[in-house]
Amino acid sequence: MAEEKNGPQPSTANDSSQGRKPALIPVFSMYAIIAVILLSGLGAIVGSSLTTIGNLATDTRDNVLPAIFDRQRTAINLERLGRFALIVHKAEDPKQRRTFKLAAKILSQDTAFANNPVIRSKVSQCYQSIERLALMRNRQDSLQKKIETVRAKAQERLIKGRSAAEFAKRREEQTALNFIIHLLAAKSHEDLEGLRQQLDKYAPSGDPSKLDREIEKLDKGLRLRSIFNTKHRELDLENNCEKAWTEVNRELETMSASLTANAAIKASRSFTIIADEASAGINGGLTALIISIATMILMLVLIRRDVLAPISNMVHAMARARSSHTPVILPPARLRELHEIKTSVEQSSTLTAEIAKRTQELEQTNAVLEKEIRERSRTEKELARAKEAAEAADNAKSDFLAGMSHEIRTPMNTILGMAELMLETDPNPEQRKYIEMFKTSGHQLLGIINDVLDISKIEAGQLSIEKRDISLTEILDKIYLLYSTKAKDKGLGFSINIDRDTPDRIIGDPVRISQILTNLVDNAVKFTHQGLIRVEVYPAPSEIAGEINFTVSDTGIGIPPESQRRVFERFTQADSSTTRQYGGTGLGLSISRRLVETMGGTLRLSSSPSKGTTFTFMLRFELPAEAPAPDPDIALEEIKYLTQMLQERPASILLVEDSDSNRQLLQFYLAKTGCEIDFAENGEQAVLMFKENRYDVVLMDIQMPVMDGFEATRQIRAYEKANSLPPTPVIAVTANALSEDRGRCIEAGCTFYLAKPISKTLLLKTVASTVGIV
Amino acid sequence: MRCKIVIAILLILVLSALPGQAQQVYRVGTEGGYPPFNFVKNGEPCGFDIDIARALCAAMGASCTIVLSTWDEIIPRLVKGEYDFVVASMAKTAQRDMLVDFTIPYYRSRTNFIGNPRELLASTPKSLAGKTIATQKETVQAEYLKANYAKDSKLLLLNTLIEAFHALVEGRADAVLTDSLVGYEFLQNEVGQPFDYIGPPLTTKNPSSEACIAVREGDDVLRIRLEKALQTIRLNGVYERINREYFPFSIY
Repeated sequence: MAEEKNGPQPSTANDSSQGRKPALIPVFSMYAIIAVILLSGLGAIVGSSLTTIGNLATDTRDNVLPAIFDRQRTAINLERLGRFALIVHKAEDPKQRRTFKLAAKILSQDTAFANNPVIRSKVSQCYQSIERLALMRNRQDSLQKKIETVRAKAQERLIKGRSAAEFAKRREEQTALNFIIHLLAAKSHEDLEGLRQQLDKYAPSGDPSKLDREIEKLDKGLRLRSIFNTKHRELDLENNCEKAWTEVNRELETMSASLTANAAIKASRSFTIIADEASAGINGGLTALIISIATMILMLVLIRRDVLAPISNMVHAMARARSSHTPVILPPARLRELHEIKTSVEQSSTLTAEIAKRTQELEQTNAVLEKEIRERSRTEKELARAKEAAEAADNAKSDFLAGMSHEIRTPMNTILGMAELMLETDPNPEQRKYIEMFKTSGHQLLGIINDVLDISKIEAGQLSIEKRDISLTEILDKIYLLYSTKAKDKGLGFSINIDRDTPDRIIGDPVRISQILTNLVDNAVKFTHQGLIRVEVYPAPSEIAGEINFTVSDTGIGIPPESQRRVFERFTQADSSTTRQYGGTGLGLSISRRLVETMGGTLRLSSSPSKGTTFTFMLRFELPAEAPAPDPDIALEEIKYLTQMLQERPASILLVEDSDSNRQLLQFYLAKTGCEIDFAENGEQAVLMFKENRYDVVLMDIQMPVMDGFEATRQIRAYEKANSLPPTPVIAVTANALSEDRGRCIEAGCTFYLAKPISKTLLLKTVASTVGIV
Repeated sequence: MRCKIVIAILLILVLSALPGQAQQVYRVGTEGGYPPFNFVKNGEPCGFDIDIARALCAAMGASCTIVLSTWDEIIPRLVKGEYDFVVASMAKTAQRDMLVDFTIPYYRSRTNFIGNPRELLASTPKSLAGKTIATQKETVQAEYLKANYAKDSKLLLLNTLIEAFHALVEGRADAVLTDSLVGYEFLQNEVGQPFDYIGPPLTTKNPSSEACIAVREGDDVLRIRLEKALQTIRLNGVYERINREYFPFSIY
């Protein structure tokens, strides 16, 4: 057993001996197996003893005992046989003699004798002796009968003769008879010999022949000699019988004795073996019992030492660890499972100690943090108060500004209005110059005021975004018109491109959308000295209906990366020097961004210095439902209203249309309005007429011979420019509604365009809005 | 209440069982032509078998009545149920065992030839060649004669053993093959004086050496009871006493 377990070892944290420690089950199994083997061995011994006992007992019962009984029976029968022989020998009654001879025959045939051939033959011989004995006795019987007869007769004669006269004679006869009687009664051969010697004494007158005479008187055929012979024979028989019986008796007794002894010895031997085996079995059993008890005690001791004691130690150690917060070292365990438990317990006690330490640290940190929190919250409160104050101030300011918007704008408008009026008073060139200058400044100031008011409105949260059914195309056209000249003056290319798939009609705030785009384009124009400016409108790649991307890109001075964020802040331009160079309030981008954000998008910029700048934003608009078939009633109402409006302020219209029918149509549409309409058949005529007259609005058909609408418009614009005339609204009327055409219209200088076929309502509306009525 | 009912039921069962024990009467079948084992004297069946049968019944706590039957009817009448068991010095043969069941032997004996010793010197088939041998038919002895002596000797098979003895006495037969104990009885009679056992007995392998009690096939209850009773009378000396009345030696 020593090689199975390790001696005690110090348990280190890195216990590589764990693999060599025996586990609980194997150790106990080993003890159990040893015990079982020992017990099995003992069991085998006991079992074999018991088996032997069982076998012997069975054998004894089945073989030995019957054999013993048989021997006993044989012995008894032999004794009986001897007794029967005696009876045959001694019996006087021939019948009895015969009975017992027959009985001896039956006995001699007994099956008990049959098993042992020696005994069987001896017994058979004994029976034959008995048979002979019976025979001899029978013969003796007949002889004795004869003798008895003679003796009886002699006795009778002896008694008969009593008279004195024959006394002397009688005396001789008496003597002779006495002698005969003696002779007949002789018991042995010696007696007979004795009597023969005294023959002459007993013979009458000493004459033996006289005896014969007497005998003849008794029995005719009888002689002394024959009496003597018979007597001898009878005595011989007697001797023989005696001898035969003695022999038989002795033989039988010897056999009987040996059988009895044999049986006893055999039985004793069997039972001795049984007793020995039994005691061996008992010894084995006792030993087994002792071994079992010893094993159990040993296992109990082992369990206590290797399992229970360590466990209880560990439990106490854990309790100690918990209370003292220090790691514990436990004595090494002898079994693998307990070793594992011990390691876990030690680790967990270490952990507990560590936990205690950390807890302490945490408590300290906690205290510090709490103090800090208190400080912080105090600071926060102050900050909150400050913030409130600031917000309040800001709000106050915004409110103030918003409220002041009207207050500010009114005098401005007055100033501008006055400037206009002054211009109408026909000032002299010098005065005109000054008036123009202060009008321009006034406009600029108004622009700045508007911006400021806008941003403050936005920040005050007072900006509201309208939701109207509008046309992107219209907005973009306006912008184009506004800046195409400026751009051309600076020698810059300027294009507005609307993607074909872009929905034109959207629900949005035209003013604000316009404002955003205007700010961006304005900046682009301002900060670009060469190259081009491009505005692109296209549906967002996400293909969600209503999502539209807008980009404004230029090849201007660009914005350095470090300034890119700041440009969106209020009052900042990329470089403080730009204000001096370029002017501007610095609010534009800020406002644009806020507006984009308010409308749900994000204004992004990408730029590199000297390369250009691109602003991008995406907005999601709701799309109006399909323009309902104009309710004829509503349309009528509208037409009536518009006609009324135009009547109130009739406009002068130059209608340029080659087709007669179209011309008539348009004329018809405009009939009620009271507008003065001049007609031109082609572009050339239109230009000529335009040069001659003043018109409020020009309706320019595009597809015309000689000179088409584009060319005409271009020429008109050139003329206006040459003469510093304000541009007259030109409404292009085109059969093509393609965006390229739109672009070309814008390029040519058209203000609006209408697609054929024109509805009356649309025509009137466009005209009305162009001239500023609606 | 439950307990009382259980006790009452038990009492009833016990009481009803008791009468069953009182005085069973067994009917015992025997032949009556096999002295000294079974014979008829003054109209009454007597003999060793009858005495043993009475003793067994007494040991079983019952009384019995003796029913006489001819030898050839004795088994069929048992099977029919006219009596409960047969004590008639019957040997257990394989043939008989198919019809009835046998107990362990209740006495043992050998079979001998009986004849005039002055005329017959041995009992071998050669010695008996040309002689007439008599015995009872449908006995083991008859089977033996048929198997071994039929070739050279004349067989005289008679209904009863007594007739066989008559034949011997009258000189119609020279020898009789019979059980030695039955012969013992005959040889002591007046008429048996001139005769004696001739030759050795038949071997013990012969089934005639054991006499058993026959019960109906499958009646193990009675068979075991009889064997137990036999053991009882042997142990308490009753068997020995009965034995002594007939023979001066033990025949068990």
